[in-house]
Amino acid sequence: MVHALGEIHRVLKPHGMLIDIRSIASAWPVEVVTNNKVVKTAWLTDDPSAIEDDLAANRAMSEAESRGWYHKQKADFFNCNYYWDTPSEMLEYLQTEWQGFESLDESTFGRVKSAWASADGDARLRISLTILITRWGKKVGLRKSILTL
Amino acid sequence: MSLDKDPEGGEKRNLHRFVDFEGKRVLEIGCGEGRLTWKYAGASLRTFGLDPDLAALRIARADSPSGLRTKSKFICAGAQDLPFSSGMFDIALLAWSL
Repeated sequence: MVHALGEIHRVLKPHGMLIDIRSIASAWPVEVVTNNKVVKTAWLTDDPSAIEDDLAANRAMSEAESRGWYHKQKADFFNCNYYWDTPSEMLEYLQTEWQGFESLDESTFGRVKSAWASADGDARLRISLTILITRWGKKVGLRKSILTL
Repeated sequence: MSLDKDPEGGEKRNLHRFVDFEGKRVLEIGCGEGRLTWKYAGASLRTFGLDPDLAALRIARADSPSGLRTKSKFICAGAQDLPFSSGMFDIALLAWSL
């Protein structure tokens, strides 16, 4: 990861910027959403590998910063929502796309199904992902900084 | 499958809040099928999308909006050894790939 950040630093222009946008494992809520109501019914379980991936990414950026390649300019969290029409479609997605990162145990899934079934006919399932976006500025080398003074 | 990803446009809104793509040369690492690419490429001068997954890149190429074909290019490569000369890009975007 750190080597890749060095490569990115190389191909950026002197005042270029690096944008890091990624999801952060944080027990994302599962909600039943209708036209007039949103009900939180459960939370996904973050698998240890998802947490470790986040930590490894943070470590790599810290290392790149300590090597003088980048400086943090701005960071923020926001939510990104994924919707499904039915619980089974949501579960299928979880088991295929997020396997090894996020999971929902059987009893919690049962609770989600019940909440969805007892909601209005237009009810959908929503998982609200936590996204971290960070803007890093490319640091120019000391020699170049002195020359530009 | 009835998945509807980010219909509120939170990702696009926040991306543009953080960076002005207007007239910039952009390198997107981990572009996959181009889901994020199409949210900013229209504003950029030129966008290069990189991904080691050739199948995903084929979809990205096939799905390129007609107005963006000339300004976007997809390359099968990883970030460990970028096939570009130094100092080429104004913006590098790590798209869910760090």
